Amino acid sequence: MKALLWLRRNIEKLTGSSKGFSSVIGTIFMVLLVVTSIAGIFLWTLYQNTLYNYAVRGQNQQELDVRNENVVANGNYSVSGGKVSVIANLTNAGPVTAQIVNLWVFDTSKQTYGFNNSVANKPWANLTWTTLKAGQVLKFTSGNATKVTVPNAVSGDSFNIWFVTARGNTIPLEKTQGQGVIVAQVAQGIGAIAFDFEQFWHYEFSGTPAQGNPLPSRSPKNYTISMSKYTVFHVVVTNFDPLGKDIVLNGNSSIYIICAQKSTVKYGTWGLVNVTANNIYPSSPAQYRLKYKNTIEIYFAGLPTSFTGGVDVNTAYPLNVILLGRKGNNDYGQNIPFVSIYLIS
Amino acid sequence: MSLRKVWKLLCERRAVSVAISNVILAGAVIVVGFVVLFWGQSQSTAYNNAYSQTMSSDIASLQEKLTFENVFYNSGTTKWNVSVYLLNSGKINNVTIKAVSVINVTTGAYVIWSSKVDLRFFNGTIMAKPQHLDMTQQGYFVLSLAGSLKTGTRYSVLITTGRGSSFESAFVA
Repeated sequence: MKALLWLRRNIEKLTGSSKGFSSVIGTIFMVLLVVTSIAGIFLWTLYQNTLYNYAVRGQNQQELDVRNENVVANGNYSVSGGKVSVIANLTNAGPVTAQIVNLWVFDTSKQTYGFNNSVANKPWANLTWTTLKAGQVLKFTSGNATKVTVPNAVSGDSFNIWFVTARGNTIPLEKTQGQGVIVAQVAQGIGAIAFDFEQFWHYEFSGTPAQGNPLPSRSPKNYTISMSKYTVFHVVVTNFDPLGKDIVLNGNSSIYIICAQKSTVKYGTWGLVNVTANNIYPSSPAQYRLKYKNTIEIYFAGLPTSFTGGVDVNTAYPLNVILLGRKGNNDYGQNIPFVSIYLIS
Repeated sequence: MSLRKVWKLLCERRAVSVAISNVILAGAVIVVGFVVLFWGQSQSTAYNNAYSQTMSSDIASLQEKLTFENVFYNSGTTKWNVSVYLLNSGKINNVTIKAVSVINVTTGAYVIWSSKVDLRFFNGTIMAKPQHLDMTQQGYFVLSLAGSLKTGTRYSVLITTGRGSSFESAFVA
């Protein structure tokens, strides 16, 4: 009660007299001014901190996405004319969408490299960027293989191949065993030129044909040869040189058959001849350029004069395809001895 | 107020000096108060601006990210160089490269210290100045070395951007 009376008396005193009232208003005004000013700074600082927190959160999310990105690349490559064709299946095994921006090929044998950053714009993928949704598989098949030019690259070289994503991850190509390696190994084992048994056949003339005579229909029996006919052998070869060099076959190349006549060894040779547009030019010097990874038809023709005196007919003999010429800047020679023929009169 | 009172106030000199001094004092207080107010205002504005710039710079720096797509050392007989292929995989444009250093990881010795570089597009054309990489943009530069690097030794390329971020990638010569 006493306190209430004291408060009432003081309030009446304050409102009843205007003395010192301006000081109170001034003080309140000043306090408000200071509080507003400090609050402004405080709120501005808080706003800036919020922005920074957003940026940190965004950055953390980005780091998390980078870690969660999981694209697997399985495939193989082939090399031709300094171009590496990458055939791969890109599988997005992660939970976030990935974008492929570049494909790198590094030739560890030659220490050269190349890239293809147009991998991002593949019309067949119907995408502006090569975007892989979670679980999606993107196939670079032989028809749309991504080609990378690598200076001096050949199939015998070793390569490191990797894709780069927009988030900065690199995806190495996990290589599956392909035909390219087998071919290279075979070529290293038996020589740079491969022979196609399926396309070995021959044409027969009754006598020596004139220059430009067209080839007749091929003989129905591929491996039965008449010793009395002018024979034109059709041979298909492919250059699988592990060093990737071109091969030039010269006129010393021939088909060579070792025969016998009553236990006496005899032989017959058919020289390399020019056949252009299915017309034979037996008298012209022949030369064939076999580019790396290319397949060409070559022809051997003749009437083997060394069979004079006759040979045992109706007998099977080995046939050798003798290839001579130059590979790159060096001489090259290869004998393919795997054909057998049946010689008739 | 009656005329007599006004006449009294004008004619009588008592307490005039007190009134004048009060007016002067009040004026001085007001002037000083405004000076202090404006000074405080300018100080807080300067603080806000500085803080804002620091935050923007920190945020921009935080959003910068450069990915090394490939680092290749080319050892010739008379010329040696290191090619560095970059991708801006961050969330901000205008990433500039202020300086690049090449360090021998084993010894810690600098092969190149704070070198300036010319950025090129992947097709080989040089970028117009001021050279920068925007988001998802790719570019490369070539560092010419005075001598050859030690074969089989690990080196690292350290890039410092215009915003002060550092990015590093190692390679084996």
